[in-house]
Amino acid sequence: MRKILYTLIILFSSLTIMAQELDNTLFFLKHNPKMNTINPAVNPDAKLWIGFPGLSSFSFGYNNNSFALSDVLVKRGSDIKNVKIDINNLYNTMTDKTRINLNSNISLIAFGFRVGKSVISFEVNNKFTTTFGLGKELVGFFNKGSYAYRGKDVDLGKLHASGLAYNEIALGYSRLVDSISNFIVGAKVKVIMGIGGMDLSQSNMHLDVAGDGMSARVNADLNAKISGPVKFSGDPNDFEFDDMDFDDNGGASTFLGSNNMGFGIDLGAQYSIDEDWTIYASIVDLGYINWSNTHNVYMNADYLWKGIDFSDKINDSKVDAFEDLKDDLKEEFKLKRKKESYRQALPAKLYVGGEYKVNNWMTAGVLSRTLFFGGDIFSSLTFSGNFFTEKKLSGTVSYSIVNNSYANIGLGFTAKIIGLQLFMVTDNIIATNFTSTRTMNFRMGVNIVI
Amino acid sequence: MKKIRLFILVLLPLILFSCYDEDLLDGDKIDTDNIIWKPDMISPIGYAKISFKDLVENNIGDEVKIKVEDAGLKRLYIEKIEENIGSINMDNMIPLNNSIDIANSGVINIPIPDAIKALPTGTYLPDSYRKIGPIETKFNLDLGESDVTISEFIASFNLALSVNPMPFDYMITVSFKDDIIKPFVFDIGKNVNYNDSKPKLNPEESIKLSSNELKNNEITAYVSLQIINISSTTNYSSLPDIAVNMSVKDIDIKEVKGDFGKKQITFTPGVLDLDLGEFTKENIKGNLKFGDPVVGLRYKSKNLGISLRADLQLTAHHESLPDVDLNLKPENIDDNVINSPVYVSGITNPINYQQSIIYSKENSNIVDFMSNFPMDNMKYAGTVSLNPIKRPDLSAGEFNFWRKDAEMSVDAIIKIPFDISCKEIVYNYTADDVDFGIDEDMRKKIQKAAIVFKAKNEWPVGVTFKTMIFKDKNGVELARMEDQKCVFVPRTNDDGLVISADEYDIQEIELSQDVLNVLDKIEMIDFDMAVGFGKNGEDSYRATFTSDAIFDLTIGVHAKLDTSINF
Repeated sequence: MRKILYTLIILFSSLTIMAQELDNTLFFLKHNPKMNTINPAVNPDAKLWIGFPGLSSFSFGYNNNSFALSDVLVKRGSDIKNVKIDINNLYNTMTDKTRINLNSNISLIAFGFRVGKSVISFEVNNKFTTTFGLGKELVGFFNKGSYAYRGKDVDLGKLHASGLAYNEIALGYSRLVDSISNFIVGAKVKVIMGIGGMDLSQSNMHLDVAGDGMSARVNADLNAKISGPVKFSGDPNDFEFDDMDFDDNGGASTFLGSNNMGFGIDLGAQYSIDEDWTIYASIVDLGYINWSNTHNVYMNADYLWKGIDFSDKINDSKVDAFEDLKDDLKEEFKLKRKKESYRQALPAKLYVGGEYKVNNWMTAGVLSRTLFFGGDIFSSLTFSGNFFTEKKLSGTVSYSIVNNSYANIGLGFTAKIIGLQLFMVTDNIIATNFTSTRTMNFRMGVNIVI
Repeated sequence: MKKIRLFILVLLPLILFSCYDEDLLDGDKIDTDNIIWKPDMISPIGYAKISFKDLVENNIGDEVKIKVEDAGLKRLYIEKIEENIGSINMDNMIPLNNSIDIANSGVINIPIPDAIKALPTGTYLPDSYRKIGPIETKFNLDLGESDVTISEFIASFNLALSVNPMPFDYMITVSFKDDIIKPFVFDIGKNVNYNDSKPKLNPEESIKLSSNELKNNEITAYVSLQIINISSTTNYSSLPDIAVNMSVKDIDIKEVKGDFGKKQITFTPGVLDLDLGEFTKENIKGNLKFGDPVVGLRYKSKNLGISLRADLQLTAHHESLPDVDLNLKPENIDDNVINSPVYVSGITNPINYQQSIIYSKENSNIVDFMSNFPMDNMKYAGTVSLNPIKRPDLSAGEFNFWRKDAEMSVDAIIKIPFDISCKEIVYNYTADDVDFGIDEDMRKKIQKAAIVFKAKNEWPVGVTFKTMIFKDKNGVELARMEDQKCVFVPRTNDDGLVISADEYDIQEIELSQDVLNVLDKIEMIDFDMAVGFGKNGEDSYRATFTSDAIFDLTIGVHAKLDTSINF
């Protein structure tokens, strides 16, 4: 329990406050200095902005492209335990590839200022993102049973899990290249310090059920990389969960991630086609982390299940036969371990969008976001109506298509009160009923904007 | 800062938790024991590839061997050899008492020759006068009331002599004419108490008497006397006759030839355990008949040469059926004579001999004897007759032979080929302590439950569950199913051999709704499993098992659940 707790502390070390990470609606929230987390060429119309340490921006995001909590948990009956786990309904709801993404971002230090045609910014952020995925047929096999899969080689899908927690120090620079077309380019250079990571992207599971259902071959490949402050006891070549423990010998470097350095870059641009139309493009978090202490946990199992072989055990006890089976399975599905260095890619995002100026206080925008992480791609498309005054207020209402979910109404605002700019934004206000939602995110913060 | 945090803490719940079903997040209300799913599962449980030979070997007694015929159909057969089911100690065949009567009342009188008596006192006795005899005498072998006639005889014994006192030293020699091995010499020393007997014959030495010395069980012996030391002052004329009192003691017969007459000896009755392991009458019910069963009685004789008639009766005993004796057919009745050799002169060293009487379907009623197999036990009892047909003609040089430690024993050899004709054999089995591990609630969610049999059957039989009786813990019947086929019979030829095994055949025995309704209460199951011969189950078919026939069976389960029922 202690080791699990430690691991969770590391992986969720940035989750002290929830805020938004999807960010599509945030991009069109005028006057907000966090616009440049999406596109380093886009900055608020201000000379200087300083974020409150730890409160400048914090976000939390949850995306599930397949099902909502209410699809799994249903209320049946009148007994005390009336909430049932409905695997059948879960299966019927699931998409072929379920991906669940959880992320957070805390801005610890942030400031920026404008110098002539240039804008310089500096940020220290703590980020966490994790993705878990599984194929629909894995659930389907348990729900429908093997009879439905007779004669089929079932791809149970990639069992997928990726996690990444890191600190980043980012130095940004943008410059107005052409004032007529308002062509601005920007970049951020990031030093990455990894805290903990896990990558289970190279895992496959196949199940080949015989046509008569009387045998089944399971082929399972697993290749997981666990990075961070963990240590193992026991056989150096074997993996046992009980052998894993938190390595607390690293001191402060464990939480700073200074032992696992990496590099990242954000690139962006904006261009006004005419007075009314502006287009945007950016790529964010293009980079990697070099993990110095990675444990590669792997398994390659190919097991044909055709029952227990009683050929030579006609007079033996059943106990012996089942013991033999247990030993066979334990040997076949044994997890191995080896140490290696490992480079893990950051969750890169590609943004492409445009904005149309309706009048002096309103624009209409569209933004596409594509997230690349752990071998998977998450896409979203947001349409927004954006409202703003000269300096103090802005608001936005959006509609997003996210993870096959079409009911995502976003809302955001900034307000400058007594010199402080507050902002709050979400891409899915309907997620307030979060037991029924598949997408949920929230970002808020306090900054001084001058 | 605190105000901002307070603002966040207040605002977040307002936005995020304003509208949701809080029960779904209440861990106390989530029923993790009952999930909703509708699986239709099929899975193998176990498999076995077994030959019939392996199956029988694993379920039969250690003393029963499973073998394959060398030729013909190369059938598997079980062989049980029970050695010494009966034995007869033949030591008493020659009823020779431990004494031999001497014909002349046991005293041999040797008179002093007149030539010696005529010698005057003071005369030296010439050497030529010193040998007296031999005097012929006869011994009768005491054979009681038997009609045994001994023609040759090898034995050792103690010859005891006692003589009256004589005034000289002398030596007595006892010999047997013609076939004298060596004379038996008795020194009568000076210090001998002449009234004492003085055995001199070494018991380890034997005398061998042939027909010349043996006639009508009478032995002719010759007694001679040699005077060794006599004083010249002896009054020769007054010397008395020498009375030799001779007796035979401690007779140890080593070899006898002759006519042993006609005699009948009784075997000690007994029970033969076939040691069939699990193949007991309690487990197997069926009117099966074996093709070509054979019972052999192997008679073994040692140090014995005599013609025998064995009348050892085997009886198949059934508690609930009449006993069935194993009998030779009338025309084969003489087959049970053991033609142990009758020796002729010149053969003196017979080998050990054995001869078997084979009871087969050709010469006996063994098919009926082996029906209703397995029997409770096999009993045996009977007699052996000596010289049953003809006594040896001693005058023609024929004789029976007997040597010390002669014995005769009988082994039973039972060979049962797995060549069976039957409608079916019903095997009874009770599985107690059954626990399906489901409660009433789960039982209601089971929509289907079946046992799946996948078999490639090279055995010439099929399997059907005649009855499956499901009972509660008190043995009360809850439900039953009947006539559920699980393995079909492959095609066979007239010899009962499988022509070609079908490819894998799959049969499902689906539990009836009656059984499903009581599945949580079942704790015992009585099976009547019928091993069927032929496809229709009506006629008797022949099935022959060979060693390479494999029964490849996989047993699995097929179950369909709907756990949403009753939610």
